[in-house]
Amino acid sequence: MSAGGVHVVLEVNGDKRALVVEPHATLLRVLRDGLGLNGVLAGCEAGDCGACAVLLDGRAVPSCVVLAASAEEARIETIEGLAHGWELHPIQQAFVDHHGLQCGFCTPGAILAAKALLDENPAPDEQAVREALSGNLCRCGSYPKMVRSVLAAARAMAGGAEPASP
Amino acid sequence: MDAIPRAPFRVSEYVRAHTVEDAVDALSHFGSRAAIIAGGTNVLVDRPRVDALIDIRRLGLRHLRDGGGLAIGALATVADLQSSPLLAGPLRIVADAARAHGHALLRHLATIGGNLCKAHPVLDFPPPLLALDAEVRLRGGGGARALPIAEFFLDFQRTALGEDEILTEIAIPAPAPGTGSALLRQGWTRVDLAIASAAVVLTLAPDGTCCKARIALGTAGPTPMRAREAEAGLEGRPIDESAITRAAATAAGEARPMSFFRGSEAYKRHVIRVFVARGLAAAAGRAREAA
Repeated sequence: MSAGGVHVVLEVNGDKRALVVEPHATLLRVLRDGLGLNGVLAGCEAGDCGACAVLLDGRAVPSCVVLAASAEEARIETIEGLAHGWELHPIQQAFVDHHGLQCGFCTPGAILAAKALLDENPAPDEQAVREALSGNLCRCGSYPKMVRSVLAAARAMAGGAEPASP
Repeated sequence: MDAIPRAPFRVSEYVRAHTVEDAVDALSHFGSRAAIIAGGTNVLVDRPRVDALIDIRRLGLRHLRDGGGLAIGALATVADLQSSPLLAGPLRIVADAARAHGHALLRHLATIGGNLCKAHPVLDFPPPLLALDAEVRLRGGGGARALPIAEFFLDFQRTALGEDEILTEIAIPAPAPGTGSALLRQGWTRVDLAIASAAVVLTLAPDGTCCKARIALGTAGPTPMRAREAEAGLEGRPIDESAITRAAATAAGEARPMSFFRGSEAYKRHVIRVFVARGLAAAAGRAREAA
């Protein structure tokens, strides 16, 4: 039993981090407030909106309903881990090219949900994309362009350059 | 609009259980001052006022094991259940409930055990498990015990779990030959909680007589419930249109839904009647195919 801080080792975007977290801290708060990963956005903090989605051992989950102490030894990917320098990940590039975002608040979570999908199913149909994005609320209502972006990213990742939309 | 007021969530202790015994020991120690946490999708949303969290994620209770019936570990996730080939035939309604559960981001966190222990009538797993005569297996300081799932739900968000007990497994008996099932669920949207749901399981004799009927309802009262009067009225006779109409009306009468923003009492009762009728017709069709 541990009273007070809990020692955890998390692998965040490829780096092992040894941390002491409060026993009630959510993974969202540890990533955002503790590690300064501000691409993990705090929305509803009740598991409903998907703004805080990260990849936990490859699965897209809302980090606001994951207990940080429970994530011991987990591999975590946030939006900060996707680009290589100025070179965007193909899903990020597709969101830019196909206007998959307006205000951008839901975008990191939506891109990570899309990455979890494409890592498992590189050639999803539209219904599979819609299902994968079912936990990412977009109050701008950009859903059709988000879906189009993910489908375009899938084609781009399968090989062959994706022409940018005019 | 004001933000929803939420109390800050703080606990002073975290216990990582590695075995069921660890979890039971910690529960014996903290009693009602502790909450069990697995996927986190209940505890970190409900934010109970407790001093300790007992983390049971590592208990290795994520199995689906076929052996006569089907044993489902309490930590099996919605994703595990969505895609399991073992949830076929009459057990398909458990996979149907998993596919109806929330949104994609929750399915790798939320567990079937958490869904049952929350004991909320709106949730999707209790009705199919009630209709399949599942048994829940519990472990506590006094040892292991099992009880029919119908005896697990005592009142709104209250279960038969003792203060030092955890749910470890759900066991579904192998359905008899000639059994068919159906799950019907209505929500405002694909990802919203249910307005109402109905699970139906029927076993038909070769001559078409109904040997066993189970009708379980969600969002139809303070607990997930069976419509026992409607069930009894079906047994011993063929499932024809008049039997279906009568049973659906009886089940709607047994239901005790509450008016809430998702639907009025009258509307829910209407949906229940329609769903029980459709569920009986679908389950009877599948039972005939299975015979």
